[in-house]
Amino acid sequence: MSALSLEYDAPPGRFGILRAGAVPLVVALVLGLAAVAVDAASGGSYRNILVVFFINAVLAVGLQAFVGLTGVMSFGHIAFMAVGAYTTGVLTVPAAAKSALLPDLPFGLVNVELPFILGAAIGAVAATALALLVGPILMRLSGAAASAASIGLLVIVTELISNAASITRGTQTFSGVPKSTTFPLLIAVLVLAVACSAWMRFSRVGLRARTSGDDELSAQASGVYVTSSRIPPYLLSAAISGLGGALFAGFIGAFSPNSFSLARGVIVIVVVVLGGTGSITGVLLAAAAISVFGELTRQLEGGMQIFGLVTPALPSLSELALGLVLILVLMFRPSGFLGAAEPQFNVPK
Amino acid sequence: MTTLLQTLLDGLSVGATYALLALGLTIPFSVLRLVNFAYGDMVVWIAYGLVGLAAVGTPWWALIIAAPIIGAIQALLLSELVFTRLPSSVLTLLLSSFGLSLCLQALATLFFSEQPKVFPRADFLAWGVEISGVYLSAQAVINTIFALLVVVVLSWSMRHTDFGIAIRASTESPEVARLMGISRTSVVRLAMAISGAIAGVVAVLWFANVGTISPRAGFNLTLIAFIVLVLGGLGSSSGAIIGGLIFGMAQVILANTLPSDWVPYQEGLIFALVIAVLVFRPGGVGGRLVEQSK
Repeated sequence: MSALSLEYDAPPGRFGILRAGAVPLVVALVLGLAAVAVDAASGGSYRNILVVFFINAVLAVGLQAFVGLTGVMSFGHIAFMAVGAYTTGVLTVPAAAKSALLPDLPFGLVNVELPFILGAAIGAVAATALALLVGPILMRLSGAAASAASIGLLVIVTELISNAASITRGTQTFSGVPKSTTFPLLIAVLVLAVACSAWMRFSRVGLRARTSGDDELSAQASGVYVTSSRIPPYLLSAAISGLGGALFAGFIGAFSPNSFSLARGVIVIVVVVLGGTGSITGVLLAAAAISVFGELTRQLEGGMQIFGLVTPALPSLSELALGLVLILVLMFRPSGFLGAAEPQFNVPK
Repeated sequence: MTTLLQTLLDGLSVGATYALLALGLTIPFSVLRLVNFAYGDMVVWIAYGLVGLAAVGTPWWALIIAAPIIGAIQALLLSELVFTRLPSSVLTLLLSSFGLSLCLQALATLFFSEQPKVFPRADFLAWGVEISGVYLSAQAVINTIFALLVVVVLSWSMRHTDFGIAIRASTESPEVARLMGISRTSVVRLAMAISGAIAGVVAVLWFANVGTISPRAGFNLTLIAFIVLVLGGLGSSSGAIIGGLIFGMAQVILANTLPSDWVPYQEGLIFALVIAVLVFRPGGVGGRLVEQSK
């Protein structure tokens, strides 16, 4: 009997959920520590790629928490990322810079200057509040209609952000967010996201959502109310995506509504599909794989030297590669690395 | 009165193009369960093809004939290369078409660069007449006529020709249709070819109106087609037509009546409207087919 087995549900017993969530937690920790080790060994020359990996992993775990449980594809989760980023930005930009940047900020927010972690937490709360507002409406929809409506949410949110100039500077770049995204913070957020997501997945609430995701009709027949069963995963995934947005804001420092387009969401969607929509471990591994792959294609994009040969510059090559990966995965392994299964440690008898 | 008439006519012209756009998307959905995210990018590629043909001196009337043919060939190619090789679940097909959309956009950027290209446009499209205060442009009239023509021909052939009946039978019940000797492969090919041909007509009408093409222009087209489709009801041809007309009208009316400080929120308002419709009618306005989330 091997030490690991692929399981779909938590084992019975008091510590069942803990055992079921152990592997994804360990994977998150190992990937996190490996990233820190790579950063230390390379003297920080790969830092940007590593931070982007973390942010993508957090966003992917966030998206997975919804898609994996409910079986509904959302293209609009970047909207929650945007809300998280802007909220964090408004709350953490130093007061001196803010009075120049956003003089018309309402509610005396001009003088507010919160520590980054508090700002990020409020950003996650704001994203959750948005999900709570739109969830009861959007969760009534299934299948392609739901996906189309999720794009609608993204369009509405970016339009609101672009026009609320007194809070967000409109289409202009929002800058001055203190660069506070550090490796310990990234690891902590990723582990927290994985823990919450795993707990949701194996708990009774998650089971209900997964039932409706597997087969709506049977779920209804066994007394699961489909619309409300989708709301807890939606809220959680919005909160995680909001945190991802906060980390993004604290890493990049300056952003605009264009930073939160559907195109930004592509990589997250590809990660989730590649990992297996239903598997947290799979999504974490896919995030690592896609980050490396994305960086390679990006380097090729600018043209590079291989053994003295100069390859031509190929604009939008990384986009092409991502699209191809998505199609090929769906063609040859439609359920991704791990499908809906989660590896579990076996307790020796 | 004249403003009302003008609004209605503008709405009809815009809505007819939208209806056509959605019609091209709804046929593959009903047969293959494919919600084609790459549809707008396919239209863009046809338009680039036409620009290429015009550059070597093809007259405009030949371009109009070429457009549906290019479209049909392209759609058949993509369906043989990608869509028919995938497991037929709505989500898988939707995601793969999303991937295809990325590829088509990236390839367009690679080959034609981000710089917008001028679309060949026949001179007479700029003509217009004013009849007692109502302005009619040749472009709008041709849009409407073309769109209505395609709609009428298509709905007639869906009811009265063998291939139309075969498509409808496969939509209704794929298994029984197969037992009756209707080949699934040929129905899928036919549906994709029709969808591509419609995309060709849309390419001509749309880009003659806009004037320029850029690699990322497809997203907007896909978005509009999605809205119309969801409004009208997935898989229903009459729904696509009704949805297109409603959406076109709504857009023109909003553009004319919205107070100026609301104008920036126009797109958001339209989406809010669509979501509101979906809440009360999840199957769309004319939708019979309620899909299972799978």
